Amino acid sequence: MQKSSISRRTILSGIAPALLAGAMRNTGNVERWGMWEQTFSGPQKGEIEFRAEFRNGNRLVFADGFYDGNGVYRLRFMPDALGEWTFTTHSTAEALNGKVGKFVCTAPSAGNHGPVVVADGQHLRYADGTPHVSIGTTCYAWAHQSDELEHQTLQTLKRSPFNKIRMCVLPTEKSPQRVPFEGDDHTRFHIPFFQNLDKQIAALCALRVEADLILFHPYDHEGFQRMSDAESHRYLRYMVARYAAYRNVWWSIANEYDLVKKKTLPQWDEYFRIVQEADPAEHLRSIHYSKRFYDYSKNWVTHLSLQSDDFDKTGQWLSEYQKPIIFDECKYEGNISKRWGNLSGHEMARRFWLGMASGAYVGHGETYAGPNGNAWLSKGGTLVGESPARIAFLKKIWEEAPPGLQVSPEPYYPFVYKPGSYYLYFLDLHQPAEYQFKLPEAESYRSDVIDIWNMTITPVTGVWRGSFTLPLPGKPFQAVRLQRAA
Amino acid sequence: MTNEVHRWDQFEIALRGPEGVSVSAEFRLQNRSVRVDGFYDGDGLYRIRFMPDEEGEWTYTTFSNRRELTNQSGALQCVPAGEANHGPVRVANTFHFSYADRTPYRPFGTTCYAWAHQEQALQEQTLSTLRHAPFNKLRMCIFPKSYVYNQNEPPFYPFPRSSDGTNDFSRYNPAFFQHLEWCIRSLLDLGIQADLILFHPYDRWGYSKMPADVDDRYLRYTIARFAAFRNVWWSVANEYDLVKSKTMADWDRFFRIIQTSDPYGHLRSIHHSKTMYDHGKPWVTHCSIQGDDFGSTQDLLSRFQKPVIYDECKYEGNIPRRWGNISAEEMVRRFWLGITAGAYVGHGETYLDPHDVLWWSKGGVLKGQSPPRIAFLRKLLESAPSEGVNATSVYYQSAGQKGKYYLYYFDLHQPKDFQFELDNSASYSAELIDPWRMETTPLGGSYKGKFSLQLPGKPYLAVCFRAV
Repeated sequence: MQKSSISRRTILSGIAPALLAGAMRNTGNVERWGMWEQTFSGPQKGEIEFRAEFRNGNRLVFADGFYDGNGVYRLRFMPDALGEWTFTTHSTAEALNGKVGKFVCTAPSAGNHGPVVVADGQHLRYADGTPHVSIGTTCYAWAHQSDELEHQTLQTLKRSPFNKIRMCVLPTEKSPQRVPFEGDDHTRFHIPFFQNLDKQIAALCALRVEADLILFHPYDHEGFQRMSDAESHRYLRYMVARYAAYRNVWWSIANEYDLVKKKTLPQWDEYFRIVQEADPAEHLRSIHYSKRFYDYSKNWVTHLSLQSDDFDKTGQWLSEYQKPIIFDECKYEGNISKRWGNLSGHEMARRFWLGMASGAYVGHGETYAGPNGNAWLSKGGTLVGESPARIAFLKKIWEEAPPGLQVSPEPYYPFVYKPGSYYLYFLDLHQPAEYQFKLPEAESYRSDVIDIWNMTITPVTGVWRGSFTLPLPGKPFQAVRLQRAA
Repeated sequence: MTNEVHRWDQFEIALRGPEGVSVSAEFRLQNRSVRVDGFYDGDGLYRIRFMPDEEGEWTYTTFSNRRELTNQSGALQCVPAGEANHGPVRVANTFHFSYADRTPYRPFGTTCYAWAHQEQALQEQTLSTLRHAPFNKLRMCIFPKSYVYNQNEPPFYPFPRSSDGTNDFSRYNPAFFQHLEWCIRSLLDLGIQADLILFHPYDRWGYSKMPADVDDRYLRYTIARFAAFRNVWWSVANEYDLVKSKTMADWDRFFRIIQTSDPYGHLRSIHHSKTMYDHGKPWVTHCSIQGDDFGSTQDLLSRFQKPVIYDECKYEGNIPRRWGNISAEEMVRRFWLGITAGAYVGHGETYLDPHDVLWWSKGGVLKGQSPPRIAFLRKLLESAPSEGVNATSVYYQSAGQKGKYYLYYFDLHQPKDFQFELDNSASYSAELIDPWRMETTPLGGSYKGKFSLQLPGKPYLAVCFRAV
């Protein structure tokens, strides 16, 4: 790895002279967790280092700038605190060095809750405290398609329940329509590729969809796996410089990291550290595997991104790792010949309930065979499956629940709850005609029977308290909700 | 004319004597000798019961510590087995079973733990249900059962019992055992194996915590009485690990007593709750599993090199407990998962009943929808190669015999097409099977090696290939 020529010491000692020497740019207002951006003119060639420090009171935050082609350098920043911020640039190029300015961070607009962060070692919420019920889907290569198809994907997402999307930065297809590098030179970024990605991540942000950006993957037709360490690090830093100021960005270091045969575990660890070090916003970080669990207890991992359908392990993993769990890949609704891509809509919906009722989050994907291959999973476009409507139904139930639901480590039937106020059981394939619930004696509860497939919520007449036997429909795939009576 | 007995039927010697003595007999066929214990059957009567397993003239001599019972001798002529008498069931081809005459036997069991301890009318109803059901094995407890939905007193107790609930473990109640013999014989008449559970933890009478010497005597007595029934299997316990008064050494000893006392080597296993017994021990003939982890079947088969029966993989029903409320669809699915993993599966049914008559324990009638589907699968499997089907693939589960037969089960997967890889040694016909609708659709054509088939893109379907 090339050692940075701008040391922290240089930066710190450079503040005062820069403030004195340069003209102070007043760059106006930016809302909290919005994107502040400035452009600067600089050299068109050469290895240029370009970064800035941002100051808010006594707090200092560092962000890298990046080259955006045609001699334009961009600096992006997402302020996370209200008030006045100042900045000073540092660069190996004279034209980019010592630029100073200020802006005011104002209150966020409606619908801007900030980036998603970890809460209580198990949950996710937005930075302003609003709970985030993560309901993800997967379109690995959607951002490498035609304008028309990408537009269609966004339209579909708009009408869907999904608020997170797993997407690869590097193309997965042979001869993709958009390419990230100039030919085979992995040191030269193909700027229009990233400008399109900017646009689409912003579009996702407008739809309130988190972009779970997959930085590496093994589905390689273009030689990305052969990138050297230096090239990989450069690419990572460029990605963080370019995208860390989008509040909806998550970092997924890899998809099926263990299938990337050219890379070793120490390299994956190093990628995590580079991202962690470079990212001023501390976006969520995880990695997805095929067979071999990454050690999610490592301190740079914020949550578990699992390929698994072992939902009954959730309780154990939650207590082991003390981090949120997302079953990002638990097989997909579809009908292709591979068993990972041919669940029924019913089974997909069931898996959402199993995961959520065990205290985790779950991801969706769709792989119906068609003229375009596994359309949604790879290219996006339209959804044809039956699970999204049920997932929307589930999402609404969770959004109406009190935040921060707890789990029981080894439940008889899985359930999430808030003591003394809310209990949500999923009975899965079991079909009891009645069940004895044991709730605290102090409160009384009303109850609903939820049919997860037919999407009905049927109140059970009566008010319940303590230990009581509730009549149930004796059909499989029902949930029971008990809420404290007003 | 000497006594004529069909092969694998019973020959019985009755002798008069006072209660409390030991009696046995040695049966000889040329140089072969079989030692059989007798038992006291009440009213001054001893019986020695023998199941000859070879044709020819057998002679016998009795032994006893009482003069009037010892040194009695006689003979019997063992003649060919009658129709529908295939002898006792044995392990065959490592992972499968056959009758002693080599007719294949595929266990399709059900469970009525306490059916023998109900009113006579209910027992008759159970037998009448079994007559029309697809099951050829029944798990049943020798001791009465005390558990949820099982609060009634049994009509008979195995030991004399005083009004204050004290058991006299020094004697047996012959009526109790005579009744069980009627039950076992009734099952035999229906072609059903009686998987007799010798101990269990669901007890309020004291039978789960008898002194060790009483346990051992009880086992020998039970074997002396029942071993001559060709349809008997020994299940040393149900949920052995919930019988808190006994140790692993006790269970091992019970196995050894059975193995030593049973002249015929009936099948032996033991059923667990949480901790699986080590089925690798030499006295275990097959693995009787409580579990639904069908994915680990291959591991069990290769570790133990014995047949695997998922005797309890939860039951069709609607009771609150999760072990007793899976849907019929799920029950059927589990049978398919077990069979296509190279194992066998047991059924049970637990629908709530106003009189607490749940099939799983008391018998009665079957209310569920899985039995016809289990019948369909049994018929299919009985048309498979006689040596039994072994696991042939795991990506999607299939079981078969190379060159002869493959049965694929796609479970919850719904592929629109799939590339199969059979062997090249034969050409195969193909049938699409809907296990729930019980429909079989020939796909036409002839297949070998690697080929793709279009499939309906629906879950829970199977495809069967047979060598042409």
